[in-house]
Parts: sequence; structure tokens; C-alpha cells
Amino acid sequence: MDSNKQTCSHLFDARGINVCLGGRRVVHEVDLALRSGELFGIVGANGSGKSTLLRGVLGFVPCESGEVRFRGEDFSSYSGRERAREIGYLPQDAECGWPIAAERVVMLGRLPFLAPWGGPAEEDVRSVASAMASVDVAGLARRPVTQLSGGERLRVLLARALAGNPALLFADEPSSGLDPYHQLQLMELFRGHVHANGATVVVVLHNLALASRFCDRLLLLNEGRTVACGPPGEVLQPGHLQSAYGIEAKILESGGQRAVIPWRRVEK
Amino acid sequence: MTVPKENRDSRRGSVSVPLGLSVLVVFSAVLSLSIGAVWLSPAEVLRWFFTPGEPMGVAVRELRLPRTVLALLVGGGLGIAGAALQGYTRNPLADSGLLGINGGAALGAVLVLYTGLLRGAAFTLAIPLGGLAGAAAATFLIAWLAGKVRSIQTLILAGVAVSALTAALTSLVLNFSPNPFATQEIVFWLLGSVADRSWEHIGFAGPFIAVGAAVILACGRGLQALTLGEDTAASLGISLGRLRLGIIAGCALVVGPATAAAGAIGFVGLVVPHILRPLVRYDPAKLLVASALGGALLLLWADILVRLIPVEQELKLGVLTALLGAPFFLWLIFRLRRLYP
Repeated sequence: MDSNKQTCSHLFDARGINVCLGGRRVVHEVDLALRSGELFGIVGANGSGKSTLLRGVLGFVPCESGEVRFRGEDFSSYSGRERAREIGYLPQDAECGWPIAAERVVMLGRLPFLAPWGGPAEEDVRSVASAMASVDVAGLARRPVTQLSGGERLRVLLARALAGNPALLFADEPSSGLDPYHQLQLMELFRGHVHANGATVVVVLHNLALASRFCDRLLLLNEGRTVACGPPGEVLQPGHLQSAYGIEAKILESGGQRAVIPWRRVEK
Repeated sequence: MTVPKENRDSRRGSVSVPLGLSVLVVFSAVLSLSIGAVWLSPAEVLRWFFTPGEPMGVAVRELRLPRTVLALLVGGGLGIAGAALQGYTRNPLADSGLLGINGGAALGAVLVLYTGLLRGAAFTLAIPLGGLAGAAAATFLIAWLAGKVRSIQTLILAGVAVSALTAALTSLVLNFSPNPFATQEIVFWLLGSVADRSWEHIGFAGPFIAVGAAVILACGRGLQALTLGEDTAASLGISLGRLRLGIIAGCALVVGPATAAAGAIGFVGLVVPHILRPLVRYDPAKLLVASALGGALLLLWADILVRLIPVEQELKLGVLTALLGAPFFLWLIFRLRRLYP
């Protein structure tokens, strides 16, 4: 309430988040403050609480404590439908329960926009088509998703998340099942979504080269706690990489961009 | 562009499946009214229906029509509940009995039969009311368990446990049954039938089934979203708690009274959604209406067959649906291996 200055500059502001899963605290006092129009990466070793942090701030698992504000308002004051119209979410290991045609899966992303009992309108059909074109899956429109390859399926599900044209998109490890070409395409797509629409994209990444090259800011987690948060150069410095991952990295510089390449294991 | 065309196609598909099924249901219902000890043409059925007093008119109004309407109601109810539970669990092997509510209804009805036979007291709705009480008890148990745990997998396991418990208790009642006649009465009731039911049965079960079906239909969007998993459904604005409550309440309102009125009729809720799913392009919401119509159609035809097959002791409806359903189930298992490798 009194932090107007902060909330004005932040699209999404989660403070002091604690999440327990199965009696064990998985996320400790983590802040996640997102600005409008940034590509924000969350990095950290396996089990460092990246996914749980996302699921906690979005309310899929209960937070033990912490405050979440969206556009300056208490997040819980938004209805599920209001949230869904502005915030997209692509889960880790995204699945599809039935062999539905890809195009109809993407249309599910328009559910929060459909009138009760109504069918898709012109605008919904257009959004679906453009979302599918943007991730290169327009040609798969009529194929059942269960028959697609892992990478194709992931891109279809990403199109589903983009079909609502969300102001804020959370993507949980979307790149892990993709080949290098489609990994680059994915990150360029996220950056394009950020630049073209002023949207904010939060992406959980294991690939530090992609994280350091493409993200505006990074949050590095270790055992559920924040190690560092800021520009990739500050966050992925040798000390942090050693304590959070137990690795040493080489820095590749090319065309003014820096990419962190994991090189060898060291003692944590 | 191809996209709007596809959209038109899908709309046409979603109308034509319920429409086609409805036509078949109407046709089959007329056939169901025509057959019996005396075969009647559709015109004769109409004429007798509006002829007061005559024995044939009474037979049409008080025997054939209730039987047909109850088959439609029960079949439709089991079909939509099966589709709802398959959609909710994203498991094609779920059926209307998944939550153990039909087991509870059977146990309640069997208890009434057991105690009622002991005292020699019975009125028309005693058995259905007992079934309803049993279904309610099973529903509260499953709802309480579902409140404790939040995952769909655990709800399935809880349903299996409730089913096993009610089955064991039903066997216990049979075990203590006082004489062979009582045992036979109970066993025959358990086999399921819509024969010799009155308008009272329909007046009793119909409203519950209608309300339950409406509750299930309101869950359609939620089931669509759930195709992509629980977290994604929540991110699409679906309240998972409300959806779970709607599915449990809707299925309880449908399956409990249906079982209480007609006995334990299996496989309708499993088989019907399965056959129809490809026709509605695997859409779990469109499958609901289609399965209601398909269930009504299947049970109507099973009841027609039961009356047509010339055996000394009338074949029970539940026996026929299981006889048709079990081989289908086997075929399903082999087909699923290909579809979900």
C-alpha cells in the first residue's frame, strides 16, 4: 500500500515468498519483481525451487507467506478469468490428455475470452492462427498433438500459451526438449513478444548460454533461496556459478553479446 | 485461409453428432413402445396412448412408456457421468462407477431388500429411497476424501476404495440373507432392469438426473481446459476446486438415483464415451451431450434386445450390457496400445 513507487514500476511483484511442499520448505523468502517489457530468466540447479516459485506466485500451490501484487493490486483480488486473460503459463513437461488436433489445442488458450456457452469468434480464430504461425506450427494444425514429436508438441503448447496474447507469460523450462535451432527460435520469439507487445516473459532455463545471451535480467536460485538477481553479467559471475551449480564456466563474447558456457565441475 | 474453414467444419460436426443421435433415440423409443406381448405400429401406440380405460392403453401408458422413459433417463445419466469422469480423470478407462456412488446405491437398495423382506413390508419407492440413501452416504465419503486430498489420482484411488467397501458390504448382506428367495431377489435386483417400473420411479429419479446432468454440462469448459493438465487449467481461469465439486455432485446426482431406480448397470458409462469420442474430435465438453444421447440409445437397445431374446427367464439389463461391454473393453485395451504408445 505504501510502496506505490515500487508497484508503479513493477508489473508483477511478489515479495517474501515461502512455499512448502510435503512438509519441506522448497522456496525461502524469494522476491520476484517483474517490470513491463522485460525477458526475465530464472536459473538454478535441479531442485532449487524454480518451478515451485512459479507455481507458488501463480497460486497453483499455496504460499506459506508472501505478498503478490499484479499491476499494483493484490493478486487475490483478480478473478481466475481476469488473471487468465493477462497471464499465460506454460508448465514444465506440458501434456495433452487427448489426441486433439493441434489447432483445437491452441484454441484452448482462448477459453478465458470466450463468452459463456459461446463458440470462438473471428478474433479468437485470428489469434490462434497468428500464434501458430509465430512458432512455426501452422502446418500441423490438423494433426493430433499426441502424434507430434516432442519439440513439435511443445511448440503447439507454446502457441496455446501465446494465443491469449498475455501481458505476462511464465514458461517453465520450455527449451529443454528442443533442438538448438528451435531453442534459438524460442528465445527470439520471446524477445520478439517482449519488444513488439511490451509484454513480460519469465522463462525458467537450464541452458546458461541462452539465459545469458537473451535475458534482460536473471534470478539465480540455490536450494530455494535467492543467490542473485539482476543483469546476466552480474548474476552469472564465477562465485555464484560455483556456489549455486558447482561449476566453472567460460565466457564467450561475440558481437557485443556474452554467453556463459559451462566448462567443468568444481567443489560447491 | 484454411483456418476459418476448419472452424466451420468443426461447428458442423458438433451439431450433427447430437442431431444424428437424437434422431436415432426418437426412432428407438418408438420401437421400444411398439414391442411387447402385442406388437403395435407407431400409429397404434399413439391411438392407445390416448384411449382411456382399455387394457392396451393402460399397458402403453403404465408399462411400456415408463420402461422406455426410464431406460432413456438411466442410460443418458450413465453416459454423461461416464463422459464427465473420463474427462475429469483424463483416463479413458474411467466409468460412471469410478467414485463408488453406484456401489453405495446398490448397497442401500440391497439393505432395504434385506430388512424389508425380513419384515414383509414394502412400498414402491422403498428400494430406490434406500439406494438414494446409500448413494448419498458414498458421496459424502468420497467428497470428504476429495476435500482432504487435492490430486485427481488420489480421488480415483479413493473411489476404488469406496467401491470395494460397498461391494464387500453388499456381499456381507448376501452372506446373511435369511433364505434363498431373499438372496435371489437381491441378486436379481443387482443385475439391473427397467422392467416393471412405474411413473413413481421416474418422478423420483428424473429430477435428480436432470439437475445432475445440468451440473455436469456446466463443467464442460473446465474439462476442456483440464485436457492440458491441472496447472494449465488453473492458469486458464478454471477453479479446480469448483470443478471437482461440480463433477462429484453432478455424477452423484445422476448415478445415485439411476442406480437406485434401475439397479447396477455397468459398462454404459465406459463404452459410450469411448465410441463417441472420435466423432466429437476428442472434445471432452462436446462428448457430454453426445454421451448422454448415446447412453440413452444403448440402454434403450439393450432393453429392446432383452425383450426380444426368447429366453424363459427374462434376461436382465445389466447382464446384457456387461456381456456386450466386456468384449468391447478387451478390444479397447488393444486399441489403446496403438493410440497412446
